[in-house]
Amino acid sequence: MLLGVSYRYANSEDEAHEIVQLGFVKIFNNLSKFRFQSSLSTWLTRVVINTALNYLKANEKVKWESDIETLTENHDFVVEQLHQMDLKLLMNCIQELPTGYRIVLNMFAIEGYSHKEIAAELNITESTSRSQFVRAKALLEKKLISLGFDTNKYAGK
Amino acid sequence: MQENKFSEILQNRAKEFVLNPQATAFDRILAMRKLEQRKRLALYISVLALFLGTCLMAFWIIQPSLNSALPSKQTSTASTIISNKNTSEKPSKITSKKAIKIQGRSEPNVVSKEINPTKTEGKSAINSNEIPSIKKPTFGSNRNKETHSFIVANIESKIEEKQNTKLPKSIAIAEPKELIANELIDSKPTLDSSKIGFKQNIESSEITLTDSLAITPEIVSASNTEKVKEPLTFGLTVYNQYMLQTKAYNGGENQLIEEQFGIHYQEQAKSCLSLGFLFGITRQKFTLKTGLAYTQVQFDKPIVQQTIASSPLQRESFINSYGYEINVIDQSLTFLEMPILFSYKLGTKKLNLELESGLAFQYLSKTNTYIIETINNKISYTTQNDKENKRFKAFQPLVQVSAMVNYNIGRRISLFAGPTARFHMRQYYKEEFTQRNAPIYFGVYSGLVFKF
Repeated sequence: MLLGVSYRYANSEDEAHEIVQLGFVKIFNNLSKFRFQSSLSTWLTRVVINTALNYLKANEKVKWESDIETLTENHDFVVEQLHQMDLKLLMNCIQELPTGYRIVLNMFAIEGYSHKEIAAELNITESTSRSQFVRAKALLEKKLISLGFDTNKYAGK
Repeated sequence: MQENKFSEILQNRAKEFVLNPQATAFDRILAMRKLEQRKRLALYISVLALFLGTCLMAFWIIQPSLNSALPSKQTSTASTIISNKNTSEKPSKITSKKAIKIQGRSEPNVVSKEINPTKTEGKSAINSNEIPSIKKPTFGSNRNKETHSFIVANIESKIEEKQNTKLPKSIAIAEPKELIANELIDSKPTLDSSKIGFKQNIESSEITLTDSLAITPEIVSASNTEKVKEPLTFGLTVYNQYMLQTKAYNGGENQLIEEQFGIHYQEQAKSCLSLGFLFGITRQKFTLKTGLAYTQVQFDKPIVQQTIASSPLQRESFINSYGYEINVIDQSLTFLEMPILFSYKLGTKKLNLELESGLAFQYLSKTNTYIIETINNKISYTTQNDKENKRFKAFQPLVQVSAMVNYNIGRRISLFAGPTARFHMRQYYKEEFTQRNAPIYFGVYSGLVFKF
């Protein structure tokens, strides 16, 4: 599970392994701090997410773009295809997103953070977080199209 | 709505995604832990060495000048007479153009100088063996099951430990190699994410560590908790303060000398060093500290610093006529100090700022000073402590204000340093003067904090 989490944030599988290892070191060092205020899995996930964010911040310059471009989005297509497509392929599509987009997409759509919380965590504005998510979603759609999914059948809907 | 649906599907698909760790993953984790522990140990040692080095350097700054400047017992019992009449001997220590001649006398603990207010032609001499040392002013101076078992056992033991103490909900450990954290089954997500840092709608639940150490979640609703009060934290602070005084203050005991000889004595503030420890109680961002410290205040006593003559010409004339040079004797006061300080921490990250203020009560425990007096129309200076004790107030309250930068170098240890200022709340001397003789100190406050 933890490796799956770090895989979504990392640029590659090796990087994901590295993040999990770093995360486990932190987990062992700070196990005494776990106060059962949440489930263990939540805590472990949180540690790995923080480790991943720190790792990405330290190893690459994350580009945050605040202006929202008007991109054509076919939400129906995305939603339907997300159900059907191969899981590994989907994760690879997420992994291929630019770092800033990937982080916000993961935190907002998967982890369930609000834009406000993301903004506070990443030290960006809420509008930047929103634009990153919109862009990430649009880019993910483009990737699905490039992988051969046909969106035309949804055009009339 | 579309966003919510998108997020929901993505969440579900993400949870289905499981990757197996590399075979060597756990070896690496253990190696990384060992490396980190070694690094931490090296850091502690270097910080401790730095701290001790700073303390020693601070002592070194103060002690040499003090030792060299203070007279030995033998010399302090001797007395000398300063006369500008004898001009035949050359000064051995004082490099002044003008000269002072000092002759030995048998009075214990008294060093005296005779002043003859007549003009001399030649240079007078000084017998350095018989007077306290005099110097120029120096102001401002993995992979295998064993490893998996180790890790799982480690987690199990920690959880059991917690369970025995304050675990509110049950955690079932299914098999030796499985860890099932099974709390939070049914509750609504009410977790205060802003405080605790967890997201409530993250579904949590049963985690199983198998041989491959894949941790598989099953969807259960979110955990909740009530706000837990921050516990009190106790800490020990070891610190030093090296400060410079910004204010000179009057000796004041020599009004008669001033009247008789037209010489004005003013003791010159120099430095202050404090070394001590503090015990503190911390709740959230506030800390209350108290402890004990050793403080040494240094100041110089000039033999003649200035005359009461107002114009430079008159002063020059006075110096020429009396054959005096401005020279100083190092003096020190030693205090036992009890600070009571209150601090507020800004920020909770690794590097943060702490504002501190409070009071410090000083008790004068030792004096190493001189007074100047007139005996038979001669100026004398003596080391008699009883006289000194009469001269200085035994208790001194101070106000201390500091801003410190804290750096947490571990879970239990942090290093701090920052500027500090101290103000005496009342005069240093028992005698009352028109000029306020309460020194102000500005300096550096640094040390280590151990939390336990």
